Amino acid sequence: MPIKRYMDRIDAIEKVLGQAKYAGDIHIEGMLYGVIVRSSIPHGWIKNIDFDKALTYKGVIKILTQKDIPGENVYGIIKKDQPLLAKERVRYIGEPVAIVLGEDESIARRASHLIRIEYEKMDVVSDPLQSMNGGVKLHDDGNLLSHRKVIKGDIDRGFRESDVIVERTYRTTWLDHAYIEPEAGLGYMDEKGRLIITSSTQNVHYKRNEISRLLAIPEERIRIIQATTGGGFGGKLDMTVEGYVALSVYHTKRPVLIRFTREESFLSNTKRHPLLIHYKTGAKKDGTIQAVKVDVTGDTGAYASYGSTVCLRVAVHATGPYEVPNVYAESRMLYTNNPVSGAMRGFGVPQIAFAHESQMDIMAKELNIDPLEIRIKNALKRGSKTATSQELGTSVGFIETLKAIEPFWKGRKKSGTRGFGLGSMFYGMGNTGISNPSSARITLTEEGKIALHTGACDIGQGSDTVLLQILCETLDVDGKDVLLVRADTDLTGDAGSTSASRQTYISGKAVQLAALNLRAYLEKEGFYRGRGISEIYRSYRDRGFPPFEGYFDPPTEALDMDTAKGKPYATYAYATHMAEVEVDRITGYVKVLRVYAAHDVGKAINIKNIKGQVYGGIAMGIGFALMEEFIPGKTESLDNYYIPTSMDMPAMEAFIVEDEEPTGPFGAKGVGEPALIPQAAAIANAITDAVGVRPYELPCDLERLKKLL
Amino acid sequence: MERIDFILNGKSVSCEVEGDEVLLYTLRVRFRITSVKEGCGIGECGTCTVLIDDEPHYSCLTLSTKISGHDVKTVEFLSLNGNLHPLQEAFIKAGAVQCGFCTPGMLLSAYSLLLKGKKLDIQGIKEAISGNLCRCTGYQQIVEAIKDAAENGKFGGEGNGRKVEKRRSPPEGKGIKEILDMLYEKEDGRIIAGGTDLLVKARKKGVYNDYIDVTSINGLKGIREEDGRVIIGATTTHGEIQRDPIITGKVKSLSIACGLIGSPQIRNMGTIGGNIINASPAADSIPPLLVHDGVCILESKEGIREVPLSEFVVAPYETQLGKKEILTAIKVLPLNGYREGYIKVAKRAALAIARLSIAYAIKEKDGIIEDVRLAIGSCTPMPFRAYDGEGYLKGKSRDESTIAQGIKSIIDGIVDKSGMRPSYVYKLPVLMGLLSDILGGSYAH
Repeated sequence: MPIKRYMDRIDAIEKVLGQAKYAGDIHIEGMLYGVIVRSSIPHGWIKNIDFDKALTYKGVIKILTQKDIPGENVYGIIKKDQPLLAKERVRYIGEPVAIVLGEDESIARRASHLIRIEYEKMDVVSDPLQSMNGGVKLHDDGNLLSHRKVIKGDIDRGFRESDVIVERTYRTTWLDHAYIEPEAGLGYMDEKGRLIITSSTQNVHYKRNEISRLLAIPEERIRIIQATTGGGFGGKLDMTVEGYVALSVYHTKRPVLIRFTREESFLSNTKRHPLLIHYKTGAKKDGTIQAVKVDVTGDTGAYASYGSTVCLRVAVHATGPYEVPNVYAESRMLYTNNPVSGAMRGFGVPQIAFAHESQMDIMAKELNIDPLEIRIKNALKRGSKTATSQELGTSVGFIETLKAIEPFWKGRKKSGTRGFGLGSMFYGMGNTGISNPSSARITLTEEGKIALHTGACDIGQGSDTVLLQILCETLDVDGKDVLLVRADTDLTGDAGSTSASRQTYISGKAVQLAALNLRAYLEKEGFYRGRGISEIYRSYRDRGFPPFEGYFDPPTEALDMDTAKGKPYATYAYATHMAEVEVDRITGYVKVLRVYAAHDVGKAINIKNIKGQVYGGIAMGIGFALMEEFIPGKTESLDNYYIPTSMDMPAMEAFIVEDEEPTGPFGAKGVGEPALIPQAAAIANAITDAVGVRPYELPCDLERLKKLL
Repeated sequence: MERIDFILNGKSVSCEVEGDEVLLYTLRVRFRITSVKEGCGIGECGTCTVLIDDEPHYSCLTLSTKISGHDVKTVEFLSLNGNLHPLQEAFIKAGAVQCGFCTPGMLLSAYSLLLKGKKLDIQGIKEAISGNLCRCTGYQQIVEAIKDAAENGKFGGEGNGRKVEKRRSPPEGKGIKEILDMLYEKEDGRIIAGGTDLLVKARKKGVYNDYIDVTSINGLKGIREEDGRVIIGATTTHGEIQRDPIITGKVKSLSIACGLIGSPQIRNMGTIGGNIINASPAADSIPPLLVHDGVCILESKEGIREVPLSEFVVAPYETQLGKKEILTAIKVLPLNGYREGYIKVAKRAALAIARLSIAYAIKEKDGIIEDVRLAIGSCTPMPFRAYDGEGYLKGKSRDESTIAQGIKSIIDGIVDKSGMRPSYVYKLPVLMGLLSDILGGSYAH
């Protein structure tokens, strides 16, 4: 049962009316437009930049390069290794070199084509395995960004005690978030000389910090406001346009808008990490998994972005949602001259899920055990120990997700080239083994409203609505009694990034705690006996309000650097998807006919939002499995990067499992990334069931599948 | 600059626009209507969708100079009377809105569908919104919302109970002569029809053209029968061809092919003439036209000439069209009593470029192949008629060995003509499989 207080999405009305203002929709009289000039080669020294023609182009106001950056020309969410504008060297195609500012967008764009950059080309590293062997050094501290191990039990003994061993290699490629709104941001100086930026983003506070360092001005002089954001999926966590907007406003003192075209978005945004996964599984005859050994090599591209996060998360999730006594998972992330890979819905887990779920099905076949049975047999449950030796205490609804799918699995009817496949997953909520708190604050207004201030960015997934529902449920008030002040560094505290499926769970909890503080106060003040908020506001105004604040940092423990022993997450989400596909043997075309998806969300706050996440995750999973592939140097726009259309979507049904998580608000956990993670794996398994061949590389598109048939 | 007058959301408006300006720019910059979004600028995402005369179009690929006299609607039209339209209410209720960036375009495609007043099934709804990409929702709640609005929404007829200005008739069309004069006058004059290929190229290459719009020519649009031939005007859109009774009856593979081009928006915009002149190896309309012995009718000041389509396309993206010449129509042979169809192999179900395509028409009597016509697209550098194979098959009885031999001669012909291309590793086996099904009768359209 979901919580009592249901709300339709609070942002939906302005969106259906076409009135929602995305950053690129904002217009300020006299504003300038910025266009980024990018490197056309993957690796080289910049010898000379010829600006003459561009500078004299009518309507061009200024051209900025790295020399114009007053502070430190480096940023990065975890490791600061990426220049805002290339210093003397470029490391990937599309690396920003200069900003052209013009009176209108087409002026800036046309002028940007007139800039000539001379390079001295350098050897290119395009393969992480080649990068590992040295040769070309991409950064001063070497080419290995990150190397993590998860060790549990005795891996050799595990394999010795196994009756069957399955060993395979899996590959995935670059994917693009392809949010429908390309990156955009607008900045200006206010009358007090403060820098105000409103942009399409997943985290306002982080960006304020980066801009402060880039411009060498204190954070108090900067205000970042999230504009309505048209999707993120991880791609708007890193700095996108904000640094360029900030630098441009700093130098021109005029309002500046920078919006990426789709082509620029493809060229510049971070990609899903391509992974090469060697996977070895050992099991007893009865299907009990004894040992899992995994070796992952990832390509993080020219700069770090979230590479080390993906590196660790992949290793921590390598076994999938199964209890395995002996684990040796090793993961490396290498620099190359490829596009920068970063955060994308699931931080590497969708890739590793493709591997562990394929392994599960291969093992089931080897042992002649039903795929559902082998999953139930090895499933994580209360009391299980994960690969990091974390004992799972509460909210482990994995088996319930399998049970929810069971009737459809048992009722499946194979015919012709139709096949069925399962995919399961677990996913740690929030950041891995580090503190990642959120805060919330509530104020009362003179007009009699209860105002929630949260730094959480709603990027379309619906956190604004969910957080207000939690507020209303806790206070026992209606939607009309509350209002939201959101994602604005001046008005809201830090809620952390909208990532890692953490906002409902972590920010939701912070809201609940703040609301409980307020509730105690309101009880005292007679609110629940009929005294209005306006009256309470007036009677207290002069004395000053006590702070109605909430703060929550999920209880985690740092992981051991050598073995990753510890408690990386306070809790996990679990899910199982089942896909039915039909394969055309002649063309290699796969049609996904039907998907059932069951998710343990702890507690449902908003069922429509959850289902929306699940259906959207299925769509992205279909893209990952069958059609999406970013090819560096080739993929330019949506005409050669296919994402699923309405016609590619199957019939879908989503089931909600509620195994409440005591640390979450009303027991809730997250669902944003889990929705995607098992889908591609389920399709790969269904293809195998349909035609007897197994894809080891995604996307399993026409050519790749035909080759196997 | 050129002055345009049109109806925008029920009101007459006018403004000055540049010759190469697209409607997306005009609406966003000159009218500050920002509900019309740019998601790609090349007609692939649908966020810029507007209704022109109540049909969805991509405003990013529509020249503003074309819309004089027409009726343009953006999502603001739906709530003109200050109340939410039943579709908008249904979107909110169903949870069909997430990030919202696709929402205005999606609503307009849905509104256009509802205006047609047809009974809706899930497939029909999915098809109607197949030109609008959404990355958040998986489309499910959007489809539910449209279905709900269609079944339960109360619509107040045209304008949903609002007072709207009716559009006046479009400005008088031009004569061919007038267009030819322009073509001779303008050094860099570039003929444009639907714009769905040309404006994409212009964006990619960063060139800015002096466009001459042939869709304004009187009498260049439409389908008629004449002297045992079907004449298709060059500016007839893919959508019009797809639905035309003459085409669905006698040029069936062309109807199917046109129905598989791009998305509803592209089919409302793109023209058959444009598809031919663009001469892409993957052009969907060309194989069916080859099957029907298509002949291009070309006109210039020197006069009118006719060139068979098989000779007209001389290389990928290159035709025999003279610099000062216009393609006015394509003439095809109607086929009766044939088993006919078009197969498109593509990576996704809509908005896709063909990886391989086959148009076919086969006439049989008592197990004997009386006539067979096969044209293959997206394989060799240009779509082609498989005359070698046809010649072998004609007059023979349809048995396995005949079919196998016929297919062999087609494949040999391809390799002889173009050598072994890397893509053939995939394409030739697929082609063999599909031809075997077609000739064997498994595809019975």
